[in-house]
Amino acid sequence: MSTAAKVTYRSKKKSRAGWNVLGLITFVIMGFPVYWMIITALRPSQEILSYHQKLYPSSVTFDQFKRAIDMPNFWDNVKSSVIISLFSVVIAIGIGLLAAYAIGRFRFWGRRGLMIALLLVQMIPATSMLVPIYIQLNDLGGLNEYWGVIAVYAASTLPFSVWMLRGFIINIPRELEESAMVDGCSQMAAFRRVVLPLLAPGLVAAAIYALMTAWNEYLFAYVLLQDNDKYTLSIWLLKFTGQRGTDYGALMAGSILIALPVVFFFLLVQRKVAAGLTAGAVKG
Amino acid sequence: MSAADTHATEPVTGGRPLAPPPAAHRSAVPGRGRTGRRTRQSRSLPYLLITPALVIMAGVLGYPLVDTVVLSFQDERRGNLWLHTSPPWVGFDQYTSVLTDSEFWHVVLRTFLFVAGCVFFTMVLGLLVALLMQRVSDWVRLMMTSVMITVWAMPLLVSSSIFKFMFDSDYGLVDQLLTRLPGVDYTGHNWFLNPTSGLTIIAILVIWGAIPFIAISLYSALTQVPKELEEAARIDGARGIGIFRFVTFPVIKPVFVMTTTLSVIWDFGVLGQILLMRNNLPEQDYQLLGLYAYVQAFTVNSFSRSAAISIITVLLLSCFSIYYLRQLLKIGEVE
Amino acid sequence: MKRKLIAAIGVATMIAGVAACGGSDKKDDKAAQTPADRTGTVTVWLMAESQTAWPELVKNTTAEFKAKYPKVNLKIQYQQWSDKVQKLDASLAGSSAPDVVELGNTETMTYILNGALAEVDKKQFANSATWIKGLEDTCTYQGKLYCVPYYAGARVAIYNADDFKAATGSDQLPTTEDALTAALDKVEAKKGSDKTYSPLYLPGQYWYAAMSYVKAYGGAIATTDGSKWTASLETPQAQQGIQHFIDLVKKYNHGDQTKDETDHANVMAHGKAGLIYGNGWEAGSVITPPTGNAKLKDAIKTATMPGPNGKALPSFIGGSDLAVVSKSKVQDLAKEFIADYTDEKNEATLVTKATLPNNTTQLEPMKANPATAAAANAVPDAWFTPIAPGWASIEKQGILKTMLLDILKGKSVADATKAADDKINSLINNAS
Repeated sequence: MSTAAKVTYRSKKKSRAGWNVLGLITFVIMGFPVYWMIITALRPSQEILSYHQKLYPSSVTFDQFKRAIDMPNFWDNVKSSVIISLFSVVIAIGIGLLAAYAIGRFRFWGRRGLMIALLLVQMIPATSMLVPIYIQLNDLGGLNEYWGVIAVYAASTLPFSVWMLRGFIINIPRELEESAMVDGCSQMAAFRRVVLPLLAPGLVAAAIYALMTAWNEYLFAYVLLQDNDKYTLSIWLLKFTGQRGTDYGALMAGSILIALPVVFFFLLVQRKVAAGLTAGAVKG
Repeated sequence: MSAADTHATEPVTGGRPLAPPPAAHRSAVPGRGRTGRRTRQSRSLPYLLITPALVIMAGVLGYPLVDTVVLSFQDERRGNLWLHTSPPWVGFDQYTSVLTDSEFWHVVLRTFLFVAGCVFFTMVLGLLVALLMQRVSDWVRLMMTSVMITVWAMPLLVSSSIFKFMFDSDYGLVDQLLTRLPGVDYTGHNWFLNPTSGLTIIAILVIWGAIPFIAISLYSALTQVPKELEEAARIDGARGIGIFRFVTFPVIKPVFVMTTTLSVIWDFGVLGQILLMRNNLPEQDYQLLGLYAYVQAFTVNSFSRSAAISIITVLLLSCFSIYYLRQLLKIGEVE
Repeated sequence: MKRKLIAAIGVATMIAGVAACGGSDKKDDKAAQTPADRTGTVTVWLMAESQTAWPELVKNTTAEFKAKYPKVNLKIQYQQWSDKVQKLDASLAGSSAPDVVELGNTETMTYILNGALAEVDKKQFANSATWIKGLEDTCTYQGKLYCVPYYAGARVAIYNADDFKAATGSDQLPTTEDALTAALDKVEAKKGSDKTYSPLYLPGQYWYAAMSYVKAYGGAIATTDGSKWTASLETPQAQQGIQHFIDLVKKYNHGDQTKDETDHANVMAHGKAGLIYGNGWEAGSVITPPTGNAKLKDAIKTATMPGPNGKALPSFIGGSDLAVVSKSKVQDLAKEFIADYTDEKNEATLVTKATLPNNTTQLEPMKANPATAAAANAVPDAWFTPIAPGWASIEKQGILKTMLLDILKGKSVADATKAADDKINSLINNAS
């Protein structure tokens, strides 16, 4: 950050307090249902569907979490979810970045068609293609295999990550790359050293999107996977609802357990992003 | 811009007076003016780069896409599917029967209203949150992003359950809180009895669930806006809205247009929220296009009718988003 | 429509024939093998209750099956009611369909008519001579059997005896409807201060209950002349039953009248209902933590629900069936698994879980136990949804719920039943 910016930063400190208050209000509004999820998981089951709702629990219990973890196949399903999500994220940002770079930096025959295709693909209601997609994976041998589900998630998140990353790539001045190339770097090296750091926020956005899709989707995972121990966590979560009523407490506890790793992952990359951003600001 | 962009080596000439791109960007076509070998390499490079993505997408979606189109001209039912007998060809019958069904047009109208409302509020609120995130202190921003990530990470089943029992007529928090206001009695008020009010609640759920994605995407785009540019504009006397319009927005425009388009597409396909909020048996008045196609396939049991509806949906969406499509391509060309 | 139906039936019978031939061919092959040498995989789809409510059944059967066929790989995969249909529909189109599948008894007909299920031989299964007829009917098509009854459920009155005793002096539920309404009025008077308390919590969209009143007045959802079904909700009897149900809802339900029955057990657990009309096992849900209220343990009782005309209210008989998928390559093993799974010992275990067994032989002793008597007694008079080709679709589109909701919103019974009949007629004979 330049000195000039720092000066204004200090002079704006006063007005920042007002923004902070607004930010906290946003935090409360967005967070209220989250809060409700957490206290539902912590309060005794009897209080959940009560006729006299209270904004805080009368006593705190961890029974629901215990009930949730004791459900069969929990740890197997954790493993499935981790494998599937990890690969989905890597594919979405790795392969997505290559394609985005091609679209953002090159003029080639079919580019416009590709862009339209990427958009159109997302318009088709995926659930109504459930059966054909199942048959396709059946023919490819991808049923009950992690890679089958990963491929489906990758196919559904790639259009987004390509579009997203392309938006970042076209904002990076080409001169940066060119000067690196003049300095003797190959195009790939220029890409790696110059473009990649500037793309960090876009990569993170695409990665989070892919992670969320893979982590939370359940219909395709449920239909494509067969063994109980291969199911993902979002399928596992359905065990709390059934013909014999819904166990809301355990459902909420279960989903907190599921959400935690994602939030943790984000907080982890958050620092990296911040670092990437300041680096970008200095260079830009 | 027409065919110009299909010629890889031809520099794109201006012609869009509204947004003249910096000359440096346009002239910098890679490989130009270098050795012949290099040019050839550069020509095949983009294709190499897109190949993995194409392979995955074609592998998973190729057959299903073709199949959906084919199905829509047939009359496939479960028996055909299971016994592998070929369904009869019916030409455009599925399309005419869908398009002449007044119920379908009600669903379309309802969907358009629903999507318009959801997208408008999602984008406006999402943008405001993103701008706010830029202006708050680091610790507030961290709180905001954490809560948004948590919202985003909440499985649909859970967020729908929470909204469902916050708005429940017997033990819902909302009714009980409203009743505490003087002169208001909302005891036993059923928000879902009137489909407009019910769909509004579902829209709130959809918007609330979509804001994190929009805000985080837009915020990461905002970080690309060079600080110096804003400062310079400020020194030149530009204020608040002016800076946003002429400095900030042009930079985030690609991401904004893209997220808007995606919101339109996603809100068109809203399905799970309605199913979960209506105990898996949504009333007729709650049908939106995505749900309608799904119901046709799995409860009315006509995969062909469902396929026809899907294709009509895609066509409607493309008409609807033609503006966006042009915008996207324009941005793509101008860079 | 009729032509399509006939075609579907033709295909179904043809496939059944082919499947039968295939089955017998294989049997000849495998007869040479001893059970201990049999290899292969049997995939079984059971619903979540088999994992959460009565895991003993799977444990027993797996042990037995493994002892006989040590080399056969038995895969039990648990499914969710909400999305099972999609998964089953897709998998039947592919090459990895399950060998055994559990189906709700209103779902079976669609699969039978589309040739998805293999014919089974009644003699192979325990107590098949005394199977509950309502269940067996859902598996039978043109005299042939395509699935095996698994368990049943009947609806009973579940009431809070403390509330009734405080108001009427008796902790017994009256046996006639007139006496019941008199008692409900007294309960209402006693509990009058709590505006959210319902003497009878009958949710307005509870169509299983509404149709029970239709049945009580001699009406039906639809009737058949043997080949074609016609909706009959417009008949005076049916309208009378629906009106009677609506009157009860409006008079005694002081919660939200437009809900369905999903959480009536919860309403009772919170002490907000004197009487609900629920599945026999729901009495357990009311008093069993985490969601139930253990304090009501001694107060909650079950009884036969009194209906109009001095008779008991006829109950809907729900339940599940087990079927062999016609594509299965190990049909003999699949049938044997079902036979083991529905044997007398397992059905007896279900009885201990307040769930009705698939046969009347084992049902008889339940009549002597006060906790299960009401449900067991409801079986002989029980009614079932039309065993028609298009029924599953009618149920999934919630046509009856919509009808009841429209009436509660102010539509006349005559108009609402007319609209429902039109909808039902357009779907009920449609095979797929």
